[in-house]
Amino acid sequence: MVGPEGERRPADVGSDDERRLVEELAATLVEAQAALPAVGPDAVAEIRRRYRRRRRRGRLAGLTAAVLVLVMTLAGVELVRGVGLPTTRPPAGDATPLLRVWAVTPPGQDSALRKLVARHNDGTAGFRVDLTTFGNEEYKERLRSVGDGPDTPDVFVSWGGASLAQLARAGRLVDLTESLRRSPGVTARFLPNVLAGGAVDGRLYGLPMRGTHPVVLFYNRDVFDRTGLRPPRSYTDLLTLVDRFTAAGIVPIALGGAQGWTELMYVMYLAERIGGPGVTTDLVSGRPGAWTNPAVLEALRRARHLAERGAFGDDFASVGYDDGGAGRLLATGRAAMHLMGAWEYPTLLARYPDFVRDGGLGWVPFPAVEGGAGDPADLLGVPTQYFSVSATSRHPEAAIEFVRAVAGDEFLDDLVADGEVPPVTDAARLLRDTEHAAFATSISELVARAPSYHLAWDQALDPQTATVLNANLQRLFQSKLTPEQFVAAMADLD
Amino acid sequence: MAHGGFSDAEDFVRARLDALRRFAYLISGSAAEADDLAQIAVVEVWQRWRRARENPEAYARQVIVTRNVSRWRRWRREVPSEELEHRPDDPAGTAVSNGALWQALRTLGKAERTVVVLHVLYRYTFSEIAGICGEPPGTVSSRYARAKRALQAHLGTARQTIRSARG
Repeated sequence: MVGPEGERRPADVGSDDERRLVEELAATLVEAQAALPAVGPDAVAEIRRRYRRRRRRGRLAGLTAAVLVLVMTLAGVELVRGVGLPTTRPPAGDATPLLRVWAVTPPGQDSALRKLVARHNDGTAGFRVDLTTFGNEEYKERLRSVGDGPDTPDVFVSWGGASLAQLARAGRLVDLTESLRRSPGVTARFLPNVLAGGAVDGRLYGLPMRGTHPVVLFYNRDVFDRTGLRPPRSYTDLLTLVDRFTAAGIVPIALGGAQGWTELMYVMYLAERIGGPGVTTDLVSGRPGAWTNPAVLEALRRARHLAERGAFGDDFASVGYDDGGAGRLLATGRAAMHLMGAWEYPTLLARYPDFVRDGGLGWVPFPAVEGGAGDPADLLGVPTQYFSVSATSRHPEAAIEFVRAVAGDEFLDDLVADGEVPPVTDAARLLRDTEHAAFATSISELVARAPSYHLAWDQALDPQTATVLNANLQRLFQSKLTPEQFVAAMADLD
Repeated sequence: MAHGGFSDAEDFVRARLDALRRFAYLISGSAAEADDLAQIAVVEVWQRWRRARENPEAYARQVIVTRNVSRWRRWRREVPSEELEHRPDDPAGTAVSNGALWQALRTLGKAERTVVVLHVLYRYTFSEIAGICGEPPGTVSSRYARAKRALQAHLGTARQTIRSARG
């Protein structure tokens, strides 16, 4: 949160109780402020219409005011001050550039991002940062208008890939390639396959500013030990496990099918394992025929087959993810596996600390598909979020300086403290001796080894298409839609 | 170029309308009020740009504070009850971690709440706040002390954050 240009002093703090009160008040006010929906794109135009009406009504008064202003201007600054605002003298540091930064609301009030902003607002940076954060879905809409129209940020977050490419090719982004070349430590620090999400046509437009969250197959070690089975390496293994666990009365794979995006994880992994990472590239860039790619159709067939074979139990359609239902099935041993983003680890840790701490939770990459064109080491998920600089920024140098700080030790250490896995080459060193180094290091290694690492389809597609996609997936998994109907419905949207 | 860093009123409004609305929301406790107050402030800035340009942000905030408190005074005269303050347009009601503290903030008088917001979040000193509200500094600091006493009872227990967001 950024204060006014005013002389800033910390709110007076006395006792511990008072400090706590001030801290909690500030946190509550920040949250409350963030809860207000953002203004619509036409807000300024609307106010202008209102302003015109007022002017017409009060034209004479306006004329008088104009004459008065002229007189005051001629009379000099002192007189203007004299009749102007009696208060709030413009404080020193007034000409400091202001960077408007847009981001997706980070978890927690004290996240690495907020600390980064606070460090730049302590008066030493030569500019100030005004952070505005948005919810995920709203932000996907806003992202498309960056650099176009009045209400646009200097620095903003994106998920890279197709959305970033659109903005870059429309000339709305600052090309960071040259300026980052002058500080070589910055780009070299990030994993190349994650940094690639911030590049368009070989030029760099975005730098990673959050942790990385690939989707992996979690499993309950106790359940596997008890049944004498091993986690799957191939799709054939997976099918065998489905039958074995079903026979043993255990749900083979927990699936929060009350939401479509959990089902998407199967379809997109299968499609990439079968057809290679180009399947995803084509889909999210809107290439004609992308949905009718045979690999997509085959992935849909296999996903529906999994559901019909009982891989997800009988009532997966009513199991939720956000309410913790799917996680509970895995942690309590009623289900053997759960395909989910790496964020599931801290989520389960918070809900089932003994299960996780005692080593009950295992994880492996999504299985290989025999004969498929995709590399079994390829990943899907949320590679990271990227900071970019808008071409309309009036303070591009300050903006680049701010963005560059995401490669600094302070920010990366804060990310690790948040429980994130920063997509950097020296992650193992940063993560060493942290509470959950084993999981974080393993995820970091999976990411470092992945030849390709794409953003989840629904996050990469525009919100309308993503909504239809996820709704159709629910119908597919419930056998209310055939793979052919699914493909036709999605292709019709293009 | 103006000292404030904005070449004209239009630039300022485009860049800061959202921030002004959020500020207005905190001190008024109502989303609809916030839109109204921010619009009033923006029109004032447009109309009086020569005067406002030196520090348009401070100017706009002052307009918002004054209009907000003066409405409150008028309402208080007409309706001697705080009931009107509890409008349904409170998006923060379900969004903040410590709902009790937010509700307690909303039940403060507007003058008290304004002091809390300006001092705690925007870090204005009491004498600056006195200038903005057009009151003696002593009044401002006693309001702040009163507000603190009222809010102390609603401190939450230590915060817990569970990260379950999808990336």
